[in-house]
Amino acid sequence: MGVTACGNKENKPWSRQERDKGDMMKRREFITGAAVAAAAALINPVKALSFPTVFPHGTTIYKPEKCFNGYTVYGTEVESEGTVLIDMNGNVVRQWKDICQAEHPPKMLKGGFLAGTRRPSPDKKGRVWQDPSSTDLVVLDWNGKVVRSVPRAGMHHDYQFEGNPVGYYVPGMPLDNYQGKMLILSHKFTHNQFISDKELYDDYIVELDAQGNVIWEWLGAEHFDEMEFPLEFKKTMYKYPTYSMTRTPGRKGGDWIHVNSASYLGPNKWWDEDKEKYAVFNPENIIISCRQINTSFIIEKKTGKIVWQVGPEYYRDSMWEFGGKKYKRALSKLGQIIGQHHTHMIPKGLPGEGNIMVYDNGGYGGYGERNPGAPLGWSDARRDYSRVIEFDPRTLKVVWEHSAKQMGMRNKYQFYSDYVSSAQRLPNGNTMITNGAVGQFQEVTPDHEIVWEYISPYYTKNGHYNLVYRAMRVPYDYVPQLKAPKETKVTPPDNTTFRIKAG
Amino acid sequence: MLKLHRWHMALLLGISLIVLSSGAYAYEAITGPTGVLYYDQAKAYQGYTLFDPTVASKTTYLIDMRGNIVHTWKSEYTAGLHSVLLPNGHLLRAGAVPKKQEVGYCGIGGAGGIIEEFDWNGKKVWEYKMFTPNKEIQHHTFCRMPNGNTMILGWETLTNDQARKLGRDPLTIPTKPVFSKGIPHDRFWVDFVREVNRKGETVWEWHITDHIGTGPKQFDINYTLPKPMGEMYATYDWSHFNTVNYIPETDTVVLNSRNLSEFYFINHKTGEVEYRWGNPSAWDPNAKKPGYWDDGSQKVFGNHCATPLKNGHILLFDNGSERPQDRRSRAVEIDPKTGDVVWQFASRHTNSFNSHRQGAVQRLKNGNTLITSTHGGHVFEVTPEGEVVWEFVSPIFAGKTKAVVNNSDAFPFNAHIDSMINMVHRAHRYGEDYPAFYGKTLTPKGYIAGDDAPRFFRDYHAGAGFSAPAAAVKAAPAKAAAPVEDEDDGGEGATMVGY
Repeated sequence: MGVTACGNKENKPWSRQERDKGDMMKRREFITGAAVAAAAALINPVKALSFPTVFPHGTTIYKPEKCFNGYTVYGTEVESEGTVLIDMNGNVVRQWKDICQAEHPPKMLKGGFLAGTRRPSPDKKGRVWQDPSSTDLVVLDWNGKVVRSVPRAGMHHDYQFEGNPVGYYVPGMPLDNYQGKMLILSHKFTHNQFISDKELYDDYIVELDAQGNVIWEWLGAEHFDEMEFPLEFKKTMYKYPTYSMTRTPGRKGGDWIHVNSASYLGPNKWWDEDKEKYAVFNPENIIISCRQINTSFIIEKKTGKIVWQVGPEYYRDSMWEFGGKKYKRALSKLGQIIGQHHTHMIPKGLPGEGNIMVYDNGGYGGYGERNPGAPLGWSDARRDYSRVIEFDPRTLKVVWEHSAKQMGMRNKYQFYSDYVSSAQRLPNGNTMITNGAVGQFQEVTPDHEIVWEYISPYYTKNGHYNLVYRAMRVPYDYVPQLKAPKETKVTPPDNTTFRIKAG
Repeated sequence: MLKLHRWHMALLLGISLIVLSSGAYAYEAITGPTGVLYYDQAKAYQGYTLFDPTVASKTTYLIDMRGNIVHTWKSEYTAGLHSVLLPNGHLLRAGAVPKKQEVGYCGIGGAGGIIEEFDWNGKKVWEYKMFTPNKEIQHHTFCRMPNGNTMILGWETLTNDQARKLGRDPLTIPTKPVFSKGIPHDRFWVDFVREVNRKGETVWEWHITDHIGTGPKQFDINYTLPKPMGEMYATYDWSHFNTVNYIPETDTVVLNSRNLSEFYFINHKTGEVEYRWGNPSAWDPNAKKPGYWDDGSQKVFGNHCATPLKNGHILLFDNGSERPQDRRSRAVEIDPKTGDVVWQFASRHTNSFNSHRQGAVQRLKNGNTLITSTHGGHVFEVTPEGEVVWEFVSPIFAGKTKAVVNNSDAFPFNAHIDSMINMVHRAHRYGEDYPAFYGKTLTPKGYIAGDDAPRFFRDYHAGAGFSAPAAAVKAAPAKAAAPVEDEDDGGEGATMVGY
């Protein structure tokens, strides 16, 4: 399933590229390109590379009456542009050029505060906890004054503030306590001979108290024994633990699981219902998404132990067990998750609360036996489309799924971001989705109608991409310093008749 | 008179068998089979077993569950006393450097002298020699730390004068040399630990002589076992450690003393004794000493192989060698937080499992425990419930392969108490998923007891007319079967096809 027919068609240069482990970004770009090219070749073999090169940017669809209207904050991933805050019509209402220069994600806090990384100097963009070359994690007030700073945090991909489990808008759980406890996802270099003989660029999760003291920490490699992987998986991971150059100057490391989100479960209905039966859903527990192993875990806060694992296999004979009950085929019905992002529990107070939401990228991920699409066995699972899934954490029953298919599109790659991306549940039941690889944000209704769409106009100078890691919607009152903007609907032209004037 | 029919007799025999089998298990024979004796595939932890025959053998064997040799390594030294397989496929092995029968050499049981590292193909890639007559010698074991350093357990000399200065009762210091293994001893050999890096540089040391005294954090230099245990026990072989392990999470060194019958947690930073367990009478004047008939406050006797577990517990081989009440060996798991024994295994009869000296334990990933009962060359695996699911008797007797063991294979009484010459100090099981095996071909290269030897485990199971042994048919403890939710397989799977 991972490797589709079209994946094999145009991939001659691919194996050459596969050997080039030097630059992660290059490979990602290449794979995106290759996948799109291959997919295009499948539908229109004469015109390879027929993915549109001309298309509008900014807000392209907007139906104000169907949206959860507010501001959207995102990191442009362009070093010189930093972070922007836009209104529904795509107007930039504020920009912070030195926050999240190519790190992510920025977060908008209630009261006009912005959180994100800041480089102590332009060359310091490391992602290792307390390393001299690492970025700081800062919170600024609306005037740009630093109100909290975690020096050399090396934050990558996620962090949380006390009082709000997921770091996005939840009614009744304001994201405003920047002075309290913080959870930060960072890295540490470590060795574990059972994982690999190479040095690991391991994920390190740390909780700080208000004074910045470490009160809890967790290092992935220390919990390898609690993770369940098949033998072939472990063999390939031992040899190819996603080993490449890190952002710490001169240091290579195996980004073996690649954690890309870390959030608290937060108050939830399961825990409210039965604290014994649903002990794994203790609100203080932490849920993480590990993209390279196609797996998400819940970490028990009290012990650091892994108490819930979905992945890496989703076969018909993979057995799911929960609360002493076995569920045949629950995993195969959930479907193979690949390279996923932003696994989190929908917080209490939002539609779908208690369910797990995942942006299941597809793309590439996992470890296993080699095959023509993955000649080293590295990232052996591949799929050329994405989906957002919402499922019951007990039974894995899918409650809601969104992909090109549900939107009635013929070609599944029309909803596709092979890396980055996210999904935020909004109070009106809509879902704010970031298809990050193509810089596209979509607010969709439960019935899969796109009611708002925006394409980031911020491209890197040399890379020709407009990547966005995660865009988040906040209500207008999160920024009391601004007057609520005008909401003007945007109706796109009919693509089939729209022409660009010649001459 | 009642005439007994054949079926009557059969019935009687059957009943008597049932009655007998419910009592203590006692299997006694002069001649017995070697090799793999029993193998319950469903319950055993699948993998490969590594062991070094202790007596006059320079070969390290890796065998599969059925006793086939899948790999061997050869050293120029006999075992001193065991080896481990590193995750990268290298063998780290302690060897015994030949000793002269002169004063200055160490003839205490367990003396080795060198740690060698071989790659999978047997090429030596690293070594560290700790063998200086009149000074120091590696003994028993070693421990490779996660940072690549190696901790080595050693004995160093302490002259009679130095011992006196440290408080040793002069009356207990011999005036004539004491012989062990033909070597005369005129000074103490006391324990120390040296941590060396890859380059062989010393990065850390710990000496028992820095911690002499009384009280919970010190070692009582006058604590000795009575002379009948062997003259060295009461004199120059005072502390006799046999284990060094390391717990990276807490930066703790684990040591174990046979003579003091204790294990210790040593703070790697300060060298301080942070915890001790096993024999309060070794340091606490108020503790009840073992008597002729009762154990007093002492928990274990002559223990070996203190092994830290993931759950913070310690797994120990309790030899029971000097135990007043019941002289037999056990595997015990201790929770250091409470000091309680939380699990143990002992056989019903000492014939089945009793190693007067040495011995080893290893907790396996599936929860089973691999036990090495050294003196019988006996390695077996037990479940948490105490069921033996794999059993092996080493067929390597001083370098010779023998399919049967008999009375002639026993050590002369005074050389090794109750011991056979197929001794194995420590065996280790490595799971099939152990990284050392990645990319290796593990082709069976013949049966360990010789290809013409009976495969007892196999014949027993597959041979016609044999019924399953009691252990194998014993029903697993009744567990409520987990309900299975098997819903109709919906259409979702189908959409994956064709794209």
